Amino acid sequence: MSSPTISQLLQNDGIWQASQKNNLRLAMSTGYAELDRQLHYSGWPQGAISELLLSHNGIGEIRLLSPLLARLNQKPGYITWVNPPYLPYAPALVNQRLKLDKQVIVKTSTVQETIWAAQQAMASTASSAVLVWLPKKVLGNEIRKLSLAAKAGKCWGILLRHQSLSQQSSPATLRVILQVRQQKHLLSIIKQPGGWSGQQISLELFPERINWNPFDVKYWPVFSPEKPQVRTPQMEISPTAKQPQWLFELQQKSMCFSEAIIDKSQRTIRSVDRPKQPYH
Amino acid sequence: MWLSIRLPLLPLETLCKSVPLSEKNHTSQTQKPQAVIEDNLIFCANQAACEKGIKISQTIASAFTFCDSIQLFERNQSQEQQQLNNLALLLYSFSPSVAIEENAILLVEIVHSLKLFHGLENLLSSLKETLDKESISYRLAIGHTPKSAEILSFMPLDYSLKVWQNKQQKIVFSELEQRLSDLPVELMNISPKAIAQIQSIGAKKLGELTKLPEKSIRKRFGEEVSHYLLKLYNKLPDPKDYFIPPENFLQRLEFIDVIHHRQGLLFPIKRLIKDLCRFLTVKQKNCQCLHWELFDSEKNMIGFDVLIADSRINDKVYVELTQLHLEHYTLHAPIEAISLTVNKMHELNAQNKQLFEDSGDFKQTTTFINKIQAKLGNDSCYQLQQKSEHIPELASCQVAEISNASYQVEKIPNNIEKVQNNISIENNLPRPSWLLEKPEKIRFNQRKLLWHGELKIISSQERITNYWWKKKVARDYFLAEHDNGTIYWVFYDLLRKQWFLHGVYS
Repeated sequence: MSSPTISQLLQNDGIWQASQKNNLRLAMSTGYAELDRQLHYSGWPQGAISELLLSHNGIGEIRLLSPLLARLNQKPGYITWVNPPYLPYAPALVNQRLKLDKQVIVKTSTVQETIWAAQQAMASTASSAVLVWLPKKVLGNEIRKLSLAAKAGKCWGILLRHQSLSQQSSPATLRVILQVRQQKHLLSIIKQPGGWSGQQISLELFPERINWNPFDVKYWPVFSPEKPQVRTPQMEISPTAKQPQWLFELQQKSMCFSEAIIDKSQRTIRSVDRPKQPYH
Repeated sequence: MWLSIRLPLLPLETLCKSVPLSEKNHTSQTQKPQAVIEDNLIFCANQAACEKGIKISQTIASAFTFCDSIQLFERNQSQEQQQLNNLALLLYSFSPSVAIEENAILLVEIVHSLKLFHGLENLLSSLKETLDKESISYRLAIGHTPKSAEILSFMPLDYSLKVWQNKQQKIVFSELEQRLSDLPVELMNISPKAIAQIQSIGAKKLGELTKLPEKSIRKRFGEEVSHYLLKLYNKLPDPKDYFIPPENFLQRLEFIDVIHHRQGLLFPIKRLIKDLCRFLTVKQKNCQCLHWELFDSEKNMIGFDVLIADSRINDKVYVELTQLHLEHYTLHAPIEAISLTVNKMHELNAQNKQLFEDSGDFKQTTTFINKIQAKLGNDSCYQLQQKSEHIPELASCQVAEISNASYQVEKIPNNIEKVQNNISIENNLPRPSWLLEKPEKIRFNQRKLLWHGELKIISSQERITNYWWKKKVARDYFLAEHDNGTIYWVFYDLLRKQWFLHGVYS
């Protein structure tokens, strides 16, 4: 009587059958076509835990996730950031089309608090995505707890952990290592639902890079008391060191100048005219 | 037309309500004789006590001779008044004209509510349903004047309902007068002395009294009786002070038996929160802070605030959050009283709900944030706000209040456009996703920038200067690539001549 056991096995969510490519599982596009093609669900899975393994915090994980978060922001639901390593910077988030009033940042002091807060957020059905930063520890049971909470809340649970944990097993549904090799972001999928894993792709997460022009070391601003200062041509109109005499006089004379802005790119001085009133 | 609600056992029921439910269930199976005393005289007694022979205005000593197992409680007038106010608030949903009378009677003007409730029968049945939930005993009656409704409430409801003509939806006056005149005179709400005077001339029923000419009534029994009769028969106006729901919520419960455990506080907490929710619903308001005070027998007070960010009225959430807060405190002495105050109230932002449930969408509720704040402290959750400041660390700030974004987005479409314009300006300039709380110093040895490895500048500079009139800030910002591939946002402070690391370009 083997048939009941097989049907029991098939009910298990973790069992994948090659015959039926299951498209019922919900996923949202990562925003990177190349990555979508490699993922069997063509996106970040909903109601499950995705794990990003990073060599360093700030290697590009926000840029990788921001298309997902921006899209989730268009619908109701908060995005909860649990225990981020640094302060998220509002102007950058706005640049990446995230809505600030939908971001909730939770500060925690212990791992238990982090897990508890993340669990609450995931199970609440009011948080569409929960980003959790975890310390460099093996946390199998805790991650299982989180994956149950994410399933209950149908949210996108994203764990951010250190790369050294890639060899440890984890109950997360999707596991991706994010690295940088020769100025290229390299993604290795070490576990993913719906099919084989082991894909490797390289992504350009910072396409604006081509607009940046590297500076030679001799133009870097330095301060050395003995030697004359080495400066870039732009440094000439530094308002601190050498203010042009006429600008100084202008500031002294005029009371209606509330602000003088030195626009470095145009090398001109813009004055902000305000109606004449006593400067207090 | 008036509806009167007489609460004969109010003094007793108010006191028994603060007893936890478990004990109450126990007593309800075999009702114990109970009575309330005022000035050492029996003021109010329950059915079981009356069966034993207890009467109103008996002394305590004679009450104990009739029944030695009787439970006596001291009357608590302020709590009674609170209970009456609560009921008035409840009746406020039936009519805007509710008056609280002496002797625990509530009068409701219902003639204008009949159409809303599709007739008297519906109104009475829904009123009964509401009152039954309050676990109080009450008697109803209708009448054409406040006084007539009041006096008829001594009789069963059917007695006064006979005067109501269902088809035409009005009172039959001849029938009403007939029924009023059948009532005994001692039911009149006048001084006992006047009643004795009336009885002394042989008038037993109201009808016999009203047969007398009005002038002689005034002459014999005085102004009080004549005015009462005129008001009873609608010949003299009888204005009432209508109940106005208070602006703020303040309720206090005192316990007959002190409470020793936190678990025991749950019942009074639930009761107060239920009253609060009703209050908020009637006022269409929303509160953000519940202030609880616990008074123990050593005259100590424990006070704490429960913050609520949710925009909906939800008693279960309030109870849960209060419990979470309560866990922080240890009770040193038994608790004698508990009070709940809610002062700051906001207009309720009624939200549109989907007619058909959309399962795919997330809820815009802040319940989980409240929970996290209750356990980890109020400053554990925050949101970000962008400010139009030139200095990078000032352009982003933390706000502790969590906005309920769902309606804000629809409210300010202009702002969104503005923000988007800002983006297009700012977009050219790189901004890091992560900002360090405090910039960290980087070493520079004339050739390399050193910070846990080597940094190489990969972008052109962006100069940020500001506040020259206050405390001057002048910095050159660069993007620098670390050995390990991370891109950092570094700056050279032109005033301090020092390199700093300020953010991570993630």
